[in-house]
Amino acid sequence: MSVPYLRVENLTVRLRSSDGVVRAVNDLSFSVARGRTLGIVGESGSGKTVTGLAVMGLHDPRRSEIGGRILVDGVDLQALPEPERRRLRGGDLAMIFQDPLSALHPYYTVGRQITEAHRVHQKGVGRAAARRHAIDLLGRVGIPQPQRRVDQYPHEFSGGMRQRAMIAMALVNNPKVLIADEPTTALDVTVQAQILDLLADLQREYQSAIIMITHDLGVVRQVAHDVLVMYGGRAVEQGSAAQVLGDPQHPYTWGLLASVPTLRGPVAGDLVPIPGNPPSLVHLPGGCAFHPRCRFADRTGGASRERVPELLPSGQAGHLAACHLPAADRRAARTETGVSA
Amino acid sequence: MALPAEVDLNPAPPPAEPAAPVAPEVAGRSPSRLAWARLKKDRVAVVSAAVIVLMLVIALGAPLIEWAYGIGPYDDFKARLDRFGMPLGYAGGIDGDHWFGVEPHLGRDIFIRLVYGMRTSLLIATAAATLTSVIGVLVGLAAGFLGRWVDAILGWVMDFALAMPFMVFALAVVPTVALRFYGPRDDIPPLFRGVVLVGIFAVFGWTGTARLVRGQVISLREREFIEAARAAGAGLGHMLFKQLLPNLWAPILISFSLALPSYVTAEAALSFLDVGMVEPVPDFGRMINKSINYLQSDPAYVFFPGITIFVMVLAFNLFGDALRDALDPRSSR
Amino acid sequence: MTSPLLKVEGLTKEFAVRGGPPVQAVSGVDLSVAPGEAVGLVGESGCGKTTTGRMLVRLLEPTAGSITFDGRDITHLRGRALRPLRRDIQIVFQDPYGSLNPRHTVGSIVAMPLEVNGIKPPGGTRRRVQELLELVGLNPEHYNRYPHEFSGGQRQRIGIARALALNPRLIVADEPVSALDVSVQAQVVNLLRGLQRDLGLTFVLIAHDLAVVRHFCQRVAVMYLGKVVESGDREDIYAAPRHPYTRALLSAVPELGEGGQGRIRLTGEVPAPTDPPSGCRFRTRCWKAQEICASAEPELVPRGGSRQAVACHFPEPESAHAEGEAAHGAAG
Ligand SMILES: Nc1ncnc2c1ncn2[C@@H]1O[C@H](COP(=O)(O)OP(=O)(O)O)[C@@H](O)[C@H]1O
Ligand SMILES: Nc1ncnc2c1ncn2[C@@H]1O[C@H](COP(=O)(O)OP(=O)(O)O)[C@@H](O)[C@H]1O
Ligand code: SF4
Ligand code: SF4
Ligand SMILES: [Mg+2]
Ligand SMILES: [Mg+2]
Repeated sequence: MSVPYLRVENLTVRLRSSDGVVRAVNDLSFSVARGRTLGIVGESGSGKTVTGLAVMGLHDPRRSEIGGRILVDGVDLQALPEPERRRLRGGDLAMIFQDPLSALHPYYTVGRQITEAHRVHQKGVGRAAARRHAIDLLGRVGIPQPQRRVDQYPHEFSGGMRQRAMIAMALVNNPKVLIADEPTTALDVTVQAQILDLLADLQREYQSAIIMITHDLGVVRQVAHDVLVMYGGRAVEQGSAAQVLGDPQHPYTWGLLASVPTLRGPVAGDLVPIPGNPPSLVHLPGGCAFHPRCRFADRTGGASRERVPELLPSGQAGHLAACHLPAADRRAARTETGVSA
Repeated sequence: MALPAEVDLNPAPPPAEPAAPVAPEVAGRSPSRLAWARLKKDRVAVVSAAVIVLMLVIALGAPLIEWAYGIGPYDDFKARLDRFGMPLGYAGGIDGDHWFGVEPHLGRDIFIRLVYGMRTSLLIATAAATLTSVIGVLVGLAAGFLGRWVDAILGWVMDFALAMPFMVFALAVVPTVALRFYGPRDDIPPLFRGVVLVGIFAVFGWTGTARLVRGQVISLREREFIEAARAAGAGLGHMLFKQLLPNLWAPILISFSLALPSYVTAEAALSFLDVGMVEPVPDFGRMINKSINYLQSDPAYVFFPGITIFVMVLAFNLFGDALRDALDPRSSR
Repeated sequence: MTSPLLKVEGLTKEFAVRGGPPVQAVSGVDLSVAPGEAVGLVGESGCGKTTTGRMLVRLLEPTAGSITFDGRDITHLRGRALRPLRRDIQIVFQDPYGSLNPRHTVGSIVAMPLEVNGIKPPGGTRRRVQELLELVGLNPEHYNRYPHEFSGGQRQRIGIARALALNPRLIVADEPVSALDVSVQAQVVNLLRGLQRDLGLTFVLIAHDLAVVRHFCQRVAVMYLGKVVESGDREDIYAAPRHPYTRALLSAVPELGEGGQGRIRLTGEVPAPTDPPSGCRFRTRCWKAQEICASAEPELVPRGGSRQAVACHFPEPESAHAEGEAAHGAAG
């Protein structure tokens, strides 16, 4: 297996808010090799975006506390002075946001934003060359008539086009790490399919390490090599896509898989929802954060309420899950949820 | 500039929403209750509110203060003046009987005149702010919700009101209106003067509130809860007053609280220019007008009305800002 | 066959735009909904689903066409005559934040339809509201709480309770679960299924998520650029889509399970509704388009003896799904 290019070790993120300290990310570790895609899944509010922003170094230092190590190609980003980090950001490290309008400036043309991102990071690139590159990129991400579009403003683009423009901007410096935060959640399936194909093509070409943040398990299955399932700011299950989706070990993952409506299979019965709502990261339930919603919490002899389960090997090699449920009982429990291996 | 230095992708994280249903108490915490809690925590708000309450008490309790103080606003104390008409003693004649001294020439007690002046000022400012708010809200609601030609006509009226120069209008209209009802030599009753002042403020002052409300209504109009009411068969009255109005309290209160001090100063200014209240009614503008002549010889005469009006306007403005922060926490910081 | 509760014919809506051609948001939609049935209206954003839904509940005035409810033409009812209809047809909205008045308690939100219609339920309004809250799975003691104290899924339940307050016969639900997480979405889909089953309610479900529609609706209509391009029973549409667009749409859904139809990638964008293509509106992205597609508009009719109506000159054969890769290709 290839060497991980991005390594995150024991990442912790605390954010200050008016309601109290948000324990947004707790002790999270993962790694992504070049040319590989890690899918991070979980319900909204589970800390996915905060994780992405932490890797990018985009949290306001006055309102956040970040612990752990973020290594890119062996260099600890946390130890880098801010100007150097900024140089990485938008260069080797790029992020695509769910809402393109939050990343595109409304008063500058799309072309200008792309060329500036280009020239800031690559000194000596001329105006004309940068513009040619921008037009080329817009064409690559599937924007028709890029020569004309390059001089338009974000509001003149449709939703799908904006997303593409933002992707073009993120890709302008051939980033080695690309964090895509729900890049297709707001888009229609046909556009989503185009964008996912596009990202796959670009990854093949540039060998980027991609983190695909999403709550859509279908998307994860389609694009991810590895999967990290987050709940309450923690990893609850981690492994290759085949392991996590094919042989899931954690009751939360089972719940997610069972609740997804499908295009095939029986529809006679009801869907199987996860009862209740995701927890607040300010007042996390004690013990296993999932226990108020977990139907197996009673089968762990009280451990679920008392101790946070450790992320331990489970199933095949490289597959981790954080659950007190004895390994011997897992398979039977999973069958009860209707999730097949 | 590929990316902003910091992005807040969750500008409005719904405040701890999943935790709320677990909270034990069943009584709802209404948005206004939350604002109230925020306001109570704001020290500036508490202090300025205390000052405002104190002034309201003084204004309302003026007759009581007069009784306790033992001196009325129209009593003169010529005996306390020297032969040039200047107060005897130090600092404008301050002593145990006359806490802020007496007026030069007329010999009236400054303290009790300030107390009554506050009454005049607050009465007119409150009446004007209330009237302008009511007009502004009604116009804003109608223009914003009905749109089309109603909005066009009201917008035109609004531009017209904004285009008229306030001071010129006031200087020209007050004497004209007074002449229309009273002869040139008649005594014009203070009540009439007050009503004319409030009327002028109303003519000019409603546009700000109306614009604010109109803008809010236009953004609320598209919200789905309005559609839901319409789909249930709600009439215009229900839409305007039951669905929209409760969402407008914040801007209305803020604009009201910031309008008050502006009317306090405007009333003082007009009275200063002889088109507001007239003698012998106690009034800040009049007092400052007269005291200006004694800037050198009796600075205490200018000081007391000056500092009172300053503190009053400052307290109102500080409170208005604090109120805005409390009602709309996102606008602050 | 029972007579339909709702029948829509040639429903059209054009929005006037200042200084430009009108937006042809909905252009001649036909729809028929039997009592107790759930019909799904699917399609990409901007294809006119919401506009159609708003016309059905008479929040928007149709430009042309007719809406018949329970045998009565309601297309142009106004004012007082609209009142009784409002009780029969209700709507559930998409946005769990925007659809509830933030200044009202849950109790007064759910009671609003009763209040504006001057209805005094036996046993009192409060009792009735609490019954409704219980019906949608909320704690009736939360009567005095405000919307911001609830999660997205709970807010959607409140919106559903409000829609149920007048005992409607038809509910138009416009993307009721698309703002929710899957785990919570399943709760709300189940609630709607339960209501349909237990109260015999009729639904028009508007959604862009084909899988959600499949789990709730017995019949499905697929829209593209203001028109219904295919409609039929759920089993037929999902197993054997006959319109090229339906096929493309289904194949674009990233699926959890194995297999599926051959992948079809649509290229380009949906044309502007101000200037739709002549003939078949899908022809600019259709890989099967021929000359006739530009000159003649295909009618939405059952073809080849099936109940499935398709608006296409060259529909897929009835067992198209068996061939898989057959139609794989890019747009011409
Ligand atoms: N800037 C911030 N300040 C305070 N809390 C925040 C901030 N950003 C996010 N949060 C909170 O952190 C938690 C995790 O958020 P997020 O990472 O956005 O979740 P996800 O992307 O998984 O939906 C949420 O409870 C959110 O309210
Ligand atoms: N009030 C309006 N004025 C002008 N155009 C509108 C208006 N409402 C909707 N549209 C347009 O009509 C088309 C259909 O919109 P809509 O019914 O909301 O689609 P959907 O719900 O399928 O996403 C879109 O192109 C949209 O821009
Ligand atoms: S630790 Fe307990 S509560 Fe948590 S997932 Fe496992 S069984 Fe459920
Ligand atoms: S009518 Fe022609 S263009 Fe339209 S869907 Fe059928 S084959 Fe394609
Ligand atoms: Mg997120
Ligand atoms: Mg819509």
